[in-house]
This record gives sequence, structure tokens and C-alpha cells, in this order.
Amino acid sequence: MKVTLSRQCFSAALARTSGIADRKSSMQILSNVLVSTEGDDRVRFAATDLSLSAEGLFPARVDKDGAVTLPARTLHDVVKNMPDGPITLNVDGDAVEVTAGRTRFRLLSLPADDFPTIPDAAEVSFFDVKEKHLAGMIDRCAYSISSDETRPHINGALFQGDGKILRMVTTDGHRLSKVECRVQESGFYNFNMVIPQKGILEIRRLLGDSEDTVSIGSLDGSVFLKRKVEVEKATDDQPAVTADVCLSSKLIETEFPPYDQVIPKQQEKRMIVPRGKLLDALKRVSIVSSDRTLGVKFVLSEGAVEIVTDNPSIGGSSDVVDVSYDGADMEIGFNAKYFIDVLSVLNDEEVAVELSGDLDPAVVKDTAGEFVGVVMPMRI
Amino acid sequence: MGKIHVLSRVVADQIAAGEVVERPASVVKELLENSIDAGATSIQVDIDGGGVGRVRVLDNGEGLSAEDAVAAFGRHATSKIADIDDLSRIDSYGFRGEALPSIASVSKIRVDTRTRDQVAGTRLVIEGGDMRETRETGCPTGTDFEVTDLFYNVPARRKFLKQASTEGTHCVEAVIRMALVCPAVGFRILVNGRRVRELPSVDDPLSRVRDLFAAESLAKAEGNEDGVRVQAVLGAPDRARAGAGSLYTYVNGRFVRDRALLRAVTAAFGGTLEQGRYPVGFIRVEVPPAACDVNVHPQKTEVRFADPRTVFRAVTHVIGTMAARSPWTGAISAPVPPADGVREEAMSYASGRSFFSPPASTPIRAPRPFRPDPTTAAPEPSPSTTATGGAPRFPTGVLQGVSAGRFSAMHYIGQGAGTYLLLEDGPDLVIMDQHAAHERVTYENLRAQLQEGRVRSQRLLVPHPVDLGPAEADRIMEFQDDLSRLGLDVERAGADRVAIHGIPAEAAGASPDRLLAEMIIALEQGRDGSRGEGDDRVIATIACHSSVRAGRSMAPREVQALLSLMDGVDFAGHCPHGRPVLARIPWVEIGRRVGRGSP
Repeated sequence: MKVTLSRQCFSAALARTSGIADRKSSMQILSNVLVSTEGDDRVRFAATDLSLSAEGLFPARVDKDGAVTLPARTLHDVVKNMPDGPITLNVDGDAVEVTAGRTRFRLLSLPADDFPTIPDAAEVSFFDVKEKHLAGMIDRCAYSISSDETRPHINGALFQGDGKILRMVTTDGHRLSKVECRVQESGFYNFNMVIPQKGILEIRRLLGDSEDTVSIGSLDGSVFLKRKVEVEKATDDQPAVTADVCLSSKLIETEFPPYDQVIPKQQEKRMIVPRGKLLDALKRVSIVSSDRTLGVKFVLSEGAVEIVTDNPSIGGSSDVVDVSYDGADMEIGFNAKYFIDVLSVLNDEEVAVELSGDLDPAVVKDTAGEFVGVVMPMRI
Repeated sequence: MGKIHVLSRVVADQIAAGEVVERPASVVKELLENSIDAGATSIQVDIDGGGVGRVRVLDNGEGLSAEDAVAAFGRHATSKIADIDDLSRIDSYGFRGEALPSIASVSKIRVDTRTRDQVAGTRLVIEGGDMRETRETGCPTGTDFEVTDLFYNVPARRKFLKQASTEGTHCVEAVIRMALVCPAVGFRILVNGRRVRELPSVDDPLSRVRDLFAAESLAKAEGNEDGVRVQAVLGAPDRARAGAGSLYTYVNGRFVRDRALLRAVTAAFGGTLEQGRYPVGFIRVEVPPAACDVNVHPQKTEVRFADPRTVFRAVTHVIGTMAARSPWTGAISAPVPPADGVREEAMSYASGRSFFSPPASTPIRAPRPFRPDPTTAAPEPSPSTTATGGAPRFPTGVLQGVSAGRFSAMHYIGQGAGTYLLLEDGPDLVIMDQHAAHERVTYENLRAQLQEGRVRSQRLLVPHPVDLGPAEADRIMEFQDDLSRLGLDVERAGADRVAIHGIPAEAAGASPDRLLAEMIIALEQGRDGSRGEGDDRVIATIACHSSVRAGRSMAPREVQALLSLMDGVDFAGHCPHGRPVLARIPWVEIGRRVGRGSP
């Protein structure tokens, strides 16, 4: 095999794939990246940790067909440090020569035949989503994914297509978040999948906040996300060079819990709070809380909520935030971190916080009606 | 003339003296024993010329009448036993009646002594065993015993003595051995007229040990098991000394050197003591006089136990229980300040109060062995029972003299085997068990919450149903209030089902039904004990469930957070199950292993 790529292209290819390569795996080949020729003008790069896979087709000059695997990290470092210009990869027995101008590296390879098969996206029926929509949903939901690997059914995000609505729901058993996004584009969604946390985070890495669309689809217990990425910017005499990148993640097979029953339909009390001020107050008072649990009390009275901490070994703190509230006085405890998390993912000036009893769930809603967060109280 | 003849009394005494009086330190020891047997509460010891020149022991004990004083120098004259049966009940130091005549036969002696009810005291002057002078003299109550020119008439023995400074050190050591076991007695030591030690009378051995080892962090253990009472004040295992020279061991108030006792100490510390190293400090074992034989050797530093295994077990267990919670770890090489009372006492001596004024607290008549006393001798908890499934009891009090640690100041190197955090702490490499460390921190947090009222409970989004038999459900509901106080909210959800609505916030990530099951077990085990004891078991269980498992990689930020949390914990040396949280390896030791030698 002999191929030549521009340094930017080579580097972009590895940046998109080598992150998936599993350096810590006991299978050495999983820390390698697969490089194989595709026709005479493209090279496929692929990496996998067996649950997540990434592959991409990148423009190249193919002088000789073939496939080889190389240590992903080393190769990436080599390419990043090469001088500008074309880089040639030439297979020579067990070793691979990587050359650019007069710079020459010899890297030991492993046979491409040993590389695991990665899920094939060819048969997947994709649908399109604006990347900013998908990114926005993940940004507002990812925080409440359970990181408890012993509870796989919530160790990921529920992602649903329901007619014109895209919906993402996550929970860790103490709080829940749900984002719904009404899409204007033509098309009608009908899908239901649970994407593991790692997959969600990798998908997010592949997304920007533009109007561009990405394609998403599932097949045989895997989700696929496909998009074009720019590897070389357009210049005066040359259009931008792009490549197709596809990320796949195994899906969680177990059913996501029935989230709908958990979200209270009707709450007794409702206050409108300035999001930023409440967030700042919570961050301030929780300085004086060495516990991981960060217990804080919300003391509600007309027009104000007081945030109080009391830590026997450190001291205490309190702060008052003016809110719009005219319900009955009440006290309710929370893990401050849970509230900080939910307030941090929203952008609204004001959010609604709905409460009932001091052992009943609190509901946080944004202005647009897209987001619902549920936070369970803490008995302090 | 026949070949065989009877030795003169003097020669016989000189031969006996060879056994009793080996060196000046033996004289110091014998005289101190007499002083303490006489109920002295203040003793001054003067050592000149390594003790060969002069040893003087001045006490405020009960003194001797003229008649007794003379009799005391007769062979086998003793006030302490009358017949052989008494030997099995020895509770005073001297008993052979050999000491005084032996010393007298090889030195020059002056004794001034007076009992409380005598108007005038008695002075005796003896040289080489011969009474030179007996007369009345004015002196305070007590005995002033001066031995000069030791071995002046036994040049062979004198030749074998070490340098005066070495003999002097041995003499001081003899006083320290006695001072450790008699904390209620004030000691003052003068060497060649210079005061080298001032040990005020104190209430407990901890204060006395602290006065002697001011630079060590010390911890105290006490317990009574199978009739063996053990009291120990020990320094941290990581500051153990090579050899047992600074570990003072006593049986029934007598200083002994016993290999079995040292082995028991090694066993108690488990793997934390390096081979051949012993912590500094003091161990006192009390057994009924009939259960041990101290009459093995005239120096009486050997002892034989009737039942050595019981003694071994008791020592191992009492010290092991303390070592398990590692009260030293928090105070990394931080010097322990003396308790306030002690400091005050020392200052009042310095400001010229008479040394012989009685100490504030009524002294006990040392060294009466402790009688097993059911009112004061609390039974020690049974050994850690993690292996048998029960949660062990562990102390909840903050130990005297132990401050919180400075874990966050340690430099984090990395994680090993996904289980151990490697840290650098000054001269040591510290290897910390992440799970145990975390468990300890959580445990302390839970305890703080409980002290405020109840353990903080995180409500669950979806109540967690637990299917059980009806009897089991009833059993669990019996504990509903206790569980709720301990952070687990459980409600009946049908004939054979309960639902968990909230779990301890510290254990937010734990599996609710396993937590419930183990909390119930802990509560049932703790039922017979006090409520505090049961609670301790339960929060130890919660702590275990909520903690970072071994084998999980931790980000450096997480590690820093854990270390800062550990700073806030009273003593973070051991996990609540008693396993040590960390091990220390001096870099010097690592240097030795790689052949680097001393830096």
C-alpha cells in the first residue's frame, strides 16, 4: 500500500478517529487506527473500542491498494509534527514508512485483517437533523445521565422521534431532564433509542451549532451519525476539501423507564426566578459545604427565596434571591449541585420552579416550553 | 585444714551482689523499688560519676524506724513477704530481701530515714557491709539513701564497668523505666548535679509517656480480656524504632523484657511494622499475681506466664483494635503538645515550689496491680468481625492529641492498579487505598449528619420497589423509624412488598435494595448494643456502599477533592472496617532497594 495525503487532511482524519482508539485496551489492535484505500482517490480511517466506532473517507492519492493498522496516538503525533506538504505512507513488510520531504519515520504495524469489523452504515436509513438542534438537546440533557454502569437502562439518553418532535430524556434516579424540539423541516420521525453516555458525548463532539444538517439512523443495535467535515478551507483557487465521517455507537438494549409518570402534571406552587441570580446564590452558599451532597435549604416566602446551608464542621451561609412568588411559605431541601446543574444548562433570563410538598419533586421549566427538569428534594 | 570451709558473710554477700548488683543502674532500680514500695510520691535521683561515684535516691515515702533500718541490711530481710505462699501473691517490687545487703557489701552507704510518727530520724553509715554508724539525725519524713564508691572493694567488677557516661545513661534509663509505670510519682533526675529530667506527677500514663516522648504523636489503648488487663500508649508505627529499646513493657508493674510480648505487639500492628521495628511507648499488662512468675531472675526483667496464649491474645487484641483505627495517621509528625494540666504542673515546679510538696491529685500507692474492676474496666469489643459478616464496632470519639491531617498538601503522583493513589509526603511515598479513604470520609460525614439529628436523605424519582415475603416486609417495617433516621425512607407497598422512597444522600449512587438489606442486617446486629453502636454499624455500611470502588480510575481533580475531604475528617487513618487507608514507604527505603544508599 502506498498513499499520499495533505498534512491537514491526514491530521484531520486522525483527529476525527484516533480519539476513539482505546489506548488502555488489552487488545493491542484496538489502540491502532485502520488505514485502507478506497478506490484511487480516497483513504478510509477507522478506529473502534468495540462499543464506539468512527470512520471517515478522506481525499488522497492512492498509488498502491492495501490496508494496514498503526498505533493511533503515535501516528497522530507523527503527522502533527511533520512539515507542511504531502505526507506519504508506504507499507514495507511489517513496517510502514511515513515520509514528508526529507522527514522519515518507520512505524511497526499490525495486520489489517486482525482489525475488528465495525458496524456498516451502508444499509442504514438515515434522517436529517440540524446539528444545532441535536447539539442543543444534548447540551441540556447530558448532565443528568446516570453514570452508574450497574443500571444500564438509565446509563444513556432516550432519543425519540415522534412525528414532528425530537425528544431527549435523561435521568439518574434523582433528577430527570426532558427536551423537546419541534422541527420545521419536512419529514416525519418515528424512532426510539437509548444511546449510552459515551456515545452521546462522542456524538456531541462531532456537532457544531450551525444550521447544517447531519444524518442519523439506527440498525442492528447501533446508532449512526454521519456528516461532512471540512478538512481544508476553501482558498481562492481551490474549493474547500470535505470528508465524510461516520460515528457509530452500540445502543442500550434495555427499556428506558417510563419517564412520563415521573413528571408531575400539576404542582401547587410556582415561582418565577431569575436564573442567573439563583445560580450565583447557589454557587456562593455551597462554598460552605464540604459534603459531596451539598445540602441546601430553599426557604420560600412571598417575593423571595432564601438559600441556606448549615454545615456542622464548617459553618453556614445564606443568600436571598428576589423571585416572583405569592404562594404559601415553605421549606424544602435540595442537593445544590442538582439545581446548579439544571440552571447551568439553560440560557433563559427567567425560569419557572414549581413545587408541591417538601418531599415532592420540584419542576424547572424554561420559557420556550422545550425543557422540563425534575429535581427530587433532599430531606435535610 | 579441710578443703571445704564456709564463706564469710561479707564474701557471700559480695557473690550475691554479683547477681543483684550488676552495675550502678541496678542500684538505682533497687532503691527506686524500695521508695515506691514505701509509698513515695516524689523521688529525686542524683547520679554522679556514672552512678559509680554516687547514687542518691531521696523520697518522701513512709520511711523506716531505727530498728527496721538496721534490720533491712540483714540477709533476706524484707517487709514484703513472710512465707513461701506469699510469693504467689507478690504485689510489691522487692521481695527477696537480697538487695540492701548486697549493695551494702560492695559500696559505702549513708541512709537518713524517718517515719511520720517519729520525732527524730535515723542515720546509718555502712561500708563494705559493716555498720559504721547508727545515730539519730534530723531529716524529713522519707528516706534519703546514698550509695557511694560502688564496687570499691571489688576491683574485678569495677573493671568491667563501661565508661561513666554509659553507666550514667543506664541509671537514667532505670529511672525512666520506673517513672513510666508510676505516673503518679513525681521524678526528678540530676546527673552530676545537673537536672536532666523533671517528670511531674500526673494522672495517667498517657501524660507521662507524652512528657518522655514529646516529639511523638501518641495514642492510648486500654482493655481487659480474660482477666488480663492491658494498657498501652504507643507512637505511630511509621515512626517505629529499630529494636524494642524505646518500647517499655511491664507486667504487673514490673519492667520486663519479654519476647512473647514483643511478638504480640508486632502481631497487633499487622503489616504496618517493619521487621525488627517497634513503636515507642509503653505497654502495661496486669495479670493476677498467681498467673505469672516474676521470680525467674534476680534482675526480674524476665517473666513467665501461667497462660502465655491468653496474654498474647489480650495484648494483640487491645493494641490491634487501637492500631486498626490508626489514630496517629492524622497527625503526620506533628508534635503533640502536652495537656494543659501537665504544663501547668511543670511550670509550678520551675517557679520554685518545693519538689516534695505532694501533687494535687491523691497518688495511688504504686505499683499495686489493677484489680479487675467491673465498674471501671469496660470490656473491650470483640475483634473486628468483617470476615464473619458483622460490622465491627469502632471508636467514635476524637482521640486526644490527634489533629486532622494535611492530606491535600501531599503531592499526587498518580493512580496504581486502578485502586491505589500514589502520593508524596515529604520523606515518604504514601500509597492510599482510594476506596478505604473515601469510605472513611463518607463515614465521618454521615456521623456529623446523625449528630445533627438524622442522616440526609435524597428522595428518589421513582420509588424503588423491593419484593419480599410478608414476614420479611414486617421485619423491615419494624425498623422504619430507625431507617428513616439513618436516611433510608421505606414504605409498605403491599402485603409482601416495600418501596424505598429515599436513600442516604451520601450513598446516592448505591443500589437501594442492597443498601436496605445491609442496613437491616446492621440494625439487627446492633440491636443488643446501645443505639449509638447500632447506628455506627449502619453508617459504616452506608459509607461502604457510597464509596469509590477499587478498580475505578479517578481523575486528578477527583483525587484532590478526596484529599481535601480527608483533611476535614478527624482521623482518616483507617476505613470504618479497620483496614488501613494508607501505607508509607520512606523514599530512603526505596533508595535502599535500588541500591542508592542514603541520599
